[in-house]
Amino acid sequence: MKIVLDMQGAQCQSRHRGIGRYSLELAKAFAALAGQRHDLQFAFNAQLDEATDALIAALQPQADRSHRLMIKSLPRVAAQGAENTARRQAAEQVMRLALDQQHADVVWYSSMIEGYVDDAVIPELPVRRGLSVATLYDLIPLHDPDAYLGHPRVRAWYDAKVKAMAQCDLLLAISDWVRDDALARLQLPAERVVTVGAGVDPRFARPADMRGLAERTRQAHGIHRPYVLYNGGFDPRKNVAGLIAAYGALPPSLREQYQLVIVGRIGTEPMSLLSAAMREARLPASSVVFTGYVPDGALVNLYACCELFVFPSSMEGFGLPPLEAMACGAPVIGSRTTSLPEVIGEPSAMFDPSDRDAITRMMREVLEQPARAQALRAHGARQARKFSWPAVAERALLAIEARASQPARPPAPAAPGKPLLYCLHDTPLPAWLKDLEQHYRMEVTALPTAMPEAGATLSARLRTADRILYVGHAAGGSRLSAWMQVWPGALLAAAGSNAPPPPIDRITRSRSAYASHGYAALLGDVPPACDSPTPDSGCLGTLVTDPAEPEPAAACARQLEAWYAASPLADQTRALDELAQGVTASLDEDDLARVCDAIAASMPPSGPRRWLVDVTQIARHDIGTGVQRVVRSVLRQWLLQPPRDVRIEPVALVDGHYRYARHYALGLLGLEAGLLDDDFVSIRANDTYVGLDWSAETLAAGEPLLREWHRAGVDMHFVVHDLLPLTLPDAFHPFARELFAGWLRRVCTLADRLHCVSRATADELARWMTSTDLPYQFGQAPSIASFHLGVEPTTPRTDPAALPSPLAQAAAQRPTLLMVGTLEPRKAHELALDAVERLWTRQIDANLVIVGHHGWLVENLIRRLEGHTERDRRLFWLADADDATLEAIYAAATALLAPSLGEGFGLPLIEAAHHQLPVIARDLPVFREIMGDYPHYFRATDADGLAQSLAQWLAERPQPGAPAPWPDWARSAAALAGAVGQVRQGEGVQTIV
Amino acid sequence: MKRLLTPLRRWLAARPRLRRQLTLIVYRFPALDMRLRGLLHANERSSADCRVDAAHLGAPARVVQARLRARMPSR
Repeated sequence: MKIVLDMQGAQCQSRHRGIGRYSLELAKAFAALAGQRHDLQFAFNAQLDEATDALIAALQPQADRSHRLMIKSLPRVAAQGAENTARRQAAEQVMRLALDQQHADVVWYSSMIEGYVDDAVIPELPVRRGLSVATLYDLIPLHDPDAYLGHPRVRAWYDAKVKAMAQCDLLLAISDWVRDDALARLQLPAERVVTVGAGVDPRFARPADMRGLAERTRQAHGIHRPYVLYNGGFDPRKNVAGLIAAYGALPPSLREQYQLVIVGRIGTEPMSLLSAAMREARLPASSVVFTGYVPDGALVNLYACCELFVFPSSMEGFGLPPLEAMACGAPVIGSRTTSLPEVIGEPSAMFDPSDRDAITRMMREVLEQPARAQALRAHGARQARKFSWPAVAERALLAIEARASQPARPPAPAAPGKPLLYCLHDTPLPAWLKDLEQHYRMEVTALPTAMPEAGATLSARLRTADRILYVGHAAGGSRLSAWMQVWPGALLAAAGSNAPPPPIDRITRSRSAYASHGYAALLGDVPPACDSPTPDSGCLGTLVTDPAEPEPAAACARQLEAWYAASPLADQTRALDELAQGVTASLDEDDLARVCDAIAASMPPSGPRRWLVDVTQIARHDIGTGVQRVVRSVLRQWLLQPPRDVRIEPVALVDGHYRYARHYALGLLGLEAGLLDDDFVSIRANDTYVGLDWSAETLAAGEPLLREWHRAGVDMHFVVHDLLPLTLPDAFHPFARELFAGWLRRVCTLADRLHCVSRATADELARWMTSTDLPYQFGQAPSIASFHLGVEPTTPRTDPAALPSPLAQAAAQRPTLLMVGTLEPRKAHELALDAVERLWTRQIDANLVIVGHHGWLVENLIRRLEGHTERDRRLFWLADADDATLEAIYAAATALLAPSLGEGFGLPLIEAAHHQLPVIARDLPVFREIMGDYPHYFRATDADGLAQSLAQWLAERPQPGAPAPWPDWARSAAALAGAVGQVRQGEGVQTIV
Repeated sequence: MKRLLTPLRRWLAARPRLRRQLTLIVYRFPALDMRLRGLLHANERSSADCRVDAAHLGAPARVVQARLRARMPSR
């Protein structure tokens, strides 16, 4: 069975009340129980995003991305505002459509009576498919309409909600009293309301160590004496004023011995009423303590340490506080009304809440007789054990399964007469088509050349059509295809027709090819696909006439009816018809756009899975950094050879909105940029986001959107190239450090998986994450994987003329040590220069050649290089060397020197090895990982030590070790793709955190 | 001042030597440097907007919009 559990009861304002706690606890217990036996989906209202992340975290692991349904809705739909009426009605229709699109066997609303003060949206009509089930908390407002339903708007709203609830196939009542009340008031058959009860969270238990707890608890809340406790709401029916009066009637000696402690968030109006009650009872302010809201942990202590818990409510759907108090070991007394006898379970512990003296009498009995208090504690502990969430979940599941096994609700009666079939054709009609008149009222029209305006006659006719059938060619971009997109229908393919398919221009053909096959289609000659049954094409399905079919009209009608009954597109069309005839005329353009966006998002994902590859930085400005080289290389490989069943879509954040970076992608592939548009991104729940580019400057801006995508089920992946600004903070400018730290925190909190370019970086990242307190979006740290960057398999081609002549002469005279990389502190150029100067002092002759741009925080180094006496004799700095010059230098050098203090990968070392140039490298884990035994490693940390190592190497000239096998970009991109794909498939790779 | 930063940055982009010299001078005053970078960042990167409006609809929503409009009586 597919069960969709609507979680709005725990998302909306009710999350602060018992309804929110009930919804969440039951959902957790139900998922643990039914998750294995049934396909359970948690539905969330995407508009109520405030509490959703915490809710998803609480429901993990059951609410993983494949069991989460984020339903888009509209803002400003609270029933409280008369101006919201049209939006709310539209939102309800959209919500119902989204639930219908799930084709669930059961849709279970955690709380139906929501949406008066917030944007919760509960449809007022049952879903078209499957059973509608709702949790029934109470109908207390109907008992006291003056108190709860005084305003006509509240009354109308509540009545509509109760009516909607009465249409449910099954109501799960939280107590027998609620069930009996509902049966009597709603006139429902007994089998449609089942009591499932409520549970108490295991956190509510008597603390194991009570020593000194009472003292600490009293101190924490400003309580000076042993106390009588109340916890709960402050509606008049809660009768807190009655409790104060009853407490005031206790003998003065008892009042001096015990304070009254009242727990709960209290507004100013109830507070003034309670103050009046205290004045009336002549109670001094010090005798009653109002704690305000108390978190659960502190509440347990308050329960456990009280001398008596009193719950004088005159009406309760269940009454969770006395149950929690009993579970924590408090002696509990309460009202003998509504559901409370079921909860308290001991007649001698109950009183008439309207009789103040009875309350006083019972309080006095317990406070004056320790044996009576002890007996109540023992009873409470026994009674509380009867109420557990797993037991509630079990009863709910049994009730749902039993209801589902009964005959389904009869379908709504069909409209009298035959449905109207509208047939539009651009090729001759088959002869058998007229036989469809046995099944439909038919209207047949040749396809007009232009799309009619909304008021045109044909549009008016099409609005009345129950079914639409197209006959003709529907190749992408054709006239028929354009009609079908706006007026979805089934297609009768013009097979056997001699009419040639209509001509299509180059751009339309390219766009169609791209739409059906992605970028790879633009490089080959892939013909545009015929319209397949996808939501955007508007094609419900394609009929092809079978010449052997004896009754083609009957077969056609059967197929049409099947598609119109079950196709998501048909559901959408039906919903659009209802909306167009109803509320949409009252909506402004933006609200209309939101309705359309929500409807589009409600369609089940179709087509290949997509990887949205973020190229925001490089698409805006490619400045040729090492990271951008990685982005270009990996993306190009992915576009040319996408991972299996995956469509690659580069995206970029532009002016606060993500757009497809199609112009950039086309440019990368050497194709004409105008072929495709950079349209706005519409995500699907099975998309994957890959933060391939280093997006430190834009991620903060894009974070709200990425969080929303993540909530909606999009996998989040980021590539981490290094942690150098954190591990070598002195080597970076404070702004760069802050920018990097902000970026890293964001990617860690957002990601499902982080991909490091080396194992060493992955280890560093894991250490940093374990030592840092990070607010992960769904409470779970991402896994970490690593892959190696690719190396271009080029053959070194050296042009000796490219070498500057002083350098050529110097290289011919003495050994040359080469350093390649931007001049920045962590590359340790100054250390290398110090070491080489010491060699020169010791009469060891060698050149030092530095190739690299002017970087940051290296002003001293630049001054030394520019004013050095050995400049252009034995010391060379080439700030702007081109590729040919670098090739020539590699050929002329004796060894590559890599004294860097930290690296993410170390591409120059691999390039040197490709030139068969020996490498003298600092003994860093990343160099060991990437280069294996090829380099000669040193561990010196000062200039003398490095000079010693260099002198030794120059004297011995050891042969390099065996070079490690380095992947090319195709393998590197494939390795990254493999690690990205594994998350969606639920496969494990080595996970560090 | 704030509005001048982005055009100034673009102008400097074509003059790398001058840009480098200016950058090095500003580097010596970390507070000024962070302030200028912060302003540039805020100028050039508008925050992502999760709200949907008529001007920023993706293709699937535009298709639905066309279908809905075709079904609506003239407004």
